Amino acid sequence: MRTRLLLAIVLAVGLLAALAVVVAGQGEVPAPYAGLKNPLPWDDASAQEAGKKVYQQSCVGCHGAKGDALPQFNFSAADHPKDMETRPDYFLWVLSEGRLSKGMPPFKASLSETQRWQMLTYLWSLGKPAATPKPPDGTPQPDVTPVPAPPSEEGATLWVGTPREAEVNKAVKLLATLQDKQGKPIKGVAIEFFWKVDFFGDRLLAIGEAETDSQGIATLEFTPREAGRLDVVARYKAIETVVPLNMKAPEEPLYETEVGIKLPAPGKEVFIGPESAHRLRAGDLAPMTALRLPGGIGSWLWLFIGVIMLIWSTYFRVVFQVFRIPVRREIRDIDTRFLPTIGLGMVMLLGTMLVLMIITGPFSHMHLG
Amino acid sequence: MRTRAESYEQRLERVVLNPLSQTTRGYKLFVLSLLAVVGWGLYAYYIQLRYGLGATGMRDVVMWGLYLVNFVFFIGISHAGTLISAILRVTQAGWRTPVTRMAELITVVAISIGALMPLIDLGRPERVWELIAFGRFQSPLLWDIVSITSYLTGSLIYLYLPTIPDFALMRDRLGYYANPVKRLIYTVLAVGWRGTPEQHRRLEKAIGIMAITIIPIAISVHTVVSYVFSMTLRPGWNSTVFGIYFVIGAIFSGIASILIVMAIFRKFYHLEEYLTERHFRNLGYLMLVALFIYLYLTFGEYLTVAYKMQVEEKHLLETLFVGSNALWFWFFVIAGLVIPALIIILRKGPVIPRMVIAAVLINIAMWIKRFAIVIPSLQVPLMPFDFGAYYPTWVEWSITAGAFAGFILIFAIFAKLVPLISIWEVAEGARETPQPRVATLVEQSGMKPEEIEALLSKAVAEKGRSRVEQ
Repeated sequence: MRTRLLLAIVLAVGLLAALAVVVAGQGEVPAPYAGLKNPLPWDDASAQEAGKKVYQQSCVGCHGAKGDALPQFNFSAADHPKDMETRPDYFLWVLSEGRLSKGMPPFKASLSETQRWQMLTYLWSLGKPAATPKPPDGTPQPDVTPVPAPPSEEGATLWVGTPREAEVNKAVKLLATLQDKQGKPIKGVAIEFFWKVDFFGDRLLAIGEAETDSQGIATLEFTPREAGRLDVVARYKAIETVVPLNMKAPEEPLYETEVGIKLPAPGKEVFIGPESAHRLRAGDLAPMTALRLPGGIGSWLWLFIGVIMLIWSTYFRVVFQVFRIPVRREIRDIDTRFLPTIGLGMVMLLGTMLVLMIITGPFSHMHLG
Repeated sequence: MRTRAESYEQRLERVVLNPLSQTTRGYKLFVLSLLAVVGWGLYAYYIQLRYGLGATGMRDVVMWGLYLVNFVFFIGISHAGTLISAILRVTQAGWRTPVTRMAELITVVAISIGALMPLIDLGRPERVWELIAFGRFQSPLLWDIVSITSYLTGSLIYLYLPTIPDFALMRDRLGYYANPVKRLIYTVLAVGWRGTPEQHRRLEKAIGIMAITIIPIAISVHTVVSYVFSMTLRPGWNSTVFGIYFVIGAIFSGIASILIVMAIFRKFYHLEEYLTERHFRNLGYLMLVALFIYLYLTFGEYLTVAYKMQVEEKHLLETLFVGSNALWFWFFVIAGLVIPALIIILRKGPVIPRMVIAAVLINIAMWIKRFAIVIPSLQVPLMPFDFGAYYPTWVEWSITAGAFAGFILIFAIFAKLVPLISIWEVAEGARETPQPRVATLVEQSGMKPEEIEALLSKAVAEKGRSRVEQ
């Protein structure tokens, strides 16, 4: 029992220490930028227009037309305008002095202060949703182009819809609508889907089969793997409809590697730490360590932490057996419990360090955040 | 009370503890020369710190060199120990008792030296803390920290546990006559061991838990070392079999290391009675099994790659088989696999020298094999450039020599502080085995048990224990 009690203490101490590590710390904006506010109203259209010109000359190469080319500095993110409103001085500072270690040059020599504020005003507008008209409600599949089939001898019509834009390696929804002569939906019949390939002549490769519902619509998901034009064929008995599907190649860098499998996240991410831990500290120092479980309370990280805890609690248990070896009344001038006590301390210290290292580790790089 | 002048256990204690109380001039000279080599290695490291990694042969293309080769090698021989001793303990192989202590000692010393190597490889070693503070869980280097820390701690505990009764013995035998410092050290190390049944129960329990725990941890260590390589897309490293390949390679070179250490201390510490031909033969056969598995994996690894022959792999195989690294590779195949296998299988000549020659060849060849894993893969160009070149500088060779000398030095010092044979376990084993034999002899001959024991111990003294047991 005492071992378990000690073990519980070890775990409690470890978790408390994990929380204690989380310390606030944020990059301070230096003078003369500290505290500066945007002299222009954020929604000033003429300032935005002026800023846009400068942006397209100097910034678009790295940041992209929408400002989202660098995922760490995504100006089109929804929370970005708010961030700019709360600390305009920070953004003016970075724009003026640059971040050479990240490849961001300083602009204070080439742009006047007004121009810099105009540009920030434009950046602010990137995060605001564009005022495009919404499609009217009640449209079942807004981005689907239905293509009718030539009417068949049975008189039924097969319509096939595919999305206007589709990307390689992303699932596409294929829709086929079957109607009879009177234009009423035919339900409960199987529609076959194919994909036309040129392999020593035209051939049809089966994608799958789906049954029509009460509205006569059969739906099938399909993940194309090749870019370019793709002919999708839907077939019901002798009726065949061919629809072209234009597959856009994903924008891929020359060399891309992703570290590891994307593990499912069973819950909402747990993050305990200052908000500033999402960003680099001043002087481009690594962000503050914070406690983070990517998959929430049910995070897969627990599995690894559990194994480490199991190993180190076993060590603790073993050293504790050694600790119990000395007979107490025999201890005289030399404390024979000295060595096992040191051992217990070391095991606790190292075990806690490893667990902390893993819990706080995934957060220490901002592009993961 | 036994009547004969010296019982088996008394002689065991005398023989094993003798080198710990007497230090010869040869030993001192040996230690001094090792210290000189280590000192030279430290000087070379100072030069490296002073002038940066430019002092080494590592460059932008081949950015890993001898240090990483040594890292894999030392982590490899560290498997000797703990894994083999734990497996023998778990399977209750009776012959293990005189071997385990040395094996466990090799582990602790080798992993300490091995873990230093990546630190030496760093241009700014003081930044290693940042790996812990800001390390990313996605990096195999972080996994390395976890598994090596766990393994080092675990094998220290596992080495220490069975030495407790021996430390107690030394506290009682040497302590009172030796200087107070020694007495203090042994008293602290013996943690008040009196050999009571309660203490025995606790110790056996602890050893039992550790023997099982340490096996998966040991396997994880070398698997993770292999992941450092195989989590990249480099030719030769981009392999699914690397985990088990490294583990088997580690066991292989580990057993070879035990054999060498056993032979050395058998000679200088006069342990002939306890480390018999049987131990060398058994370990030699284990080594042969590891050799064949390693041969099989090597064959499979290169055949599957050579059959498909992607461009980068083709470059790699060319440099390994016929190109600039061919000498290394074929030395490994001939001296590390073919000759040792023949030496062990053919059984020509005395057992111990045969096994030792095989073990020495294997250890040299396995170091070279690690070189052939690390360096050529980095030389192969992944972009349209020329092949990378790597020539270790004197700094790297000196630090490597210093590391090997340091390994031997720490081992030599340990061998003066810790009995190299687990006295209580060997004595226990000896008590357990002859008992039924005496009983049957009493029944068969009608002599008194004391007489038979006296006869047996006389025979043991004349021929060596193992022969009598056989």
